[in-house]
Amino acid sequence: MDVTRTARSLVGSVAAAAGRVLPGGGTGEAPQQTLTFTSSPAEVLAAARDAGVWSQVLGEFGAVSADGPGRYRFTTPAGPDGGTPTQLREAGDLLQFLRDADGGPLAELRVLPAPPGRGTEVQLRLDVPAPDLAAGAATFTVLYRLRALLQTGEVPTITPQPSARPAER
Amino acid sequence: MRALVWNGINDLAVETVPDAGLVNPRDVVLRVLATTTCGSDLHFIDGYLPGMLPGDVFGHEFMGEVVEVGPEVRRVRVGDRVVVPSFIACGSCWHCARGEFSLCDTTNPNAAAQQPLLGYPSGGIYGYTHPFGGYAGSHAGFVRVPFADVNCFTVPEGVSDVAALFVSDAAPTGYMGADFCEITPGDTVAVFGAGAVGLMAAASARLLGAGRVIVVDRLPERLEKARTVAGAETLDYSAVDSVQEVLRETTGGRGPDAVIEAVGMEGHGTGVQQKVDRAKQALRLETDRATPLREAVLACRKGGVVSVLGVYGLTDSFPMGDIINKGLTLRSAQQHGQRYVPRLLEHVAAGELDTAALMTHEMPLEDAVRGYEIFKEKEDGCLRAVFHP
Repeated sequence: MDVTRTARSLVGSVAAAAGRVLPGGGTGEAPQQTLTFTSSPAEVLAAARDAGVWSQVLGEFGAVSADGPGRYRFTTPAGPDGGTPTQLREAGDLLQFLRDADGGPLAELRVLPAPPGRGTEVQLRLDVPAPDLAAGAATFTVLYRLRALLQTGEVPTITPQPSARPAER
Repeated sequence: MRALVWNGINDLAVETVPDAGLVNPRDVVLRVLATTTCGSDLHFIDGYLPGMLPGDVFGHEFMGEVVEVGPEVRRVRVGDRVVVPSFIACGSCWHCARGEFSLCDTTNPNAAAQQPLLGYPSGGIYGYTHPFGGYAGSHAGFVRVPFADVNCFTVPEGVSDVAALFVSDAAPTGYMGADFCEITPGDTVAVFGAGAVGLMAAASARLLGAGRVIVVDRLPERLEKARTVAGAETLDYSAVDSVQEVLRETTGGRGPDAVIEAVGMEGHGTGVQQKVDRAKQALRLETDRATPLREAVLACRKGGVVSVLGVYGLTDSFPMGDIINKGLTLRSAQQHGQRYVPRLLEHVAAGELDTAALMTHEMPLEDAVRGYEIFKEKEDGCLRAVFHP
């Protein structure tokens, strides 16, 4: 049994409802997820400009390499060979990684002030194929990992770990 | 290493699996010295709670010796004898900063699976389904503990392994349940369920100043433990027509100031509602047999607190009207053990809390399948079976 695939199927089948989007859903836009970080807006934006951070939080969904100033290439298992080149556009509290091919956003991250003492509200839209996982659940997972990385220095993981599954013996 | 694994509904086996190891820089690895059964394990063993995968190592109540330390661990050392709360906390998120450690924002790798079920995901827990993180559990030779500086608590000299073991889950859960009751000196607290958590809740209520503690159950050996371990009065619910009426009469017509429900989704009971619950459960139309929870709401005095420690899923026929009309406060949580473990270890070391009394059966890990059979069927007066890998 490929436990990673099976576990993700389990997560995906339960998390299908996570694909429900905020008002504006059904427009063809990538789903949006929002979490509140204890980090400052500047810390979140700095992390989002770091290709290494993106690779860490995408995990099994893909990887990101920096191709030059403001240039990022998103590579995913189900995406095109050679990855998807993007150009970073910044507008205040919004970062957009725009695809060269059509100018549309592959990823959008926006920061907003949370109520006093709460930190920063972070909105993420992500248009990355994630087999076995609803798109909203994948976006939520990436955002959750980003928060964990910024707040603890680690991404929560259970790989590798012991089990009696043949692939993991 | 050897480990107890879940291979399907009511299908457990002790098998050889790879050793646990460090994954993240703040992890430690423990050699497990003692690990115990818990009633909440039965929910996924029986198949009422989904989310286990064949081959999963389970177990979430444990203590051990640190054998390996990650490069960014600062406080915990190799050789330390430690007890670890069942929920994994990071210590630095908004919820951990508020002492709400089981609500940790960063320790659930499968948080997306919980969000549609709970609204917002909880923290991760050892050995307790993939929506709760999928972490390998403690019924094994070794276990990985993330954020060790937050989650490992040194066991004082003079406190035995078994006494420390129950400070991992049963004791902090019970103590938290009593803490939720906002006990003022002299209050009367009723505890429904004399399992390990209920016994610890009763003992904790006494430590927190309750004047009377009344434990409700039906098993004679557990009622006896309630008297000896918690110094509680006891009520055998199978011997009375109405628990609520008995509690009302014994409290001057007021009712207990607080009721702690420590039974959970597979509660026993009598009456038509119990039969309805069983039928719906058998058809998987409902996950819970919630008679004790309904009784707790009914029994509590007006304006009192019902503190729910039992694990529930989806409960039908919930007496919301009782809560409204009696102005009750309902409080619940999975245990915030990291908040309570230090003081609990002090109570145990001072002889004020007898956690070791919860162990009724002790055996090698190799016999753990039989251990769960004994525990599940309450054979031989089993309260908790402790395994030594």
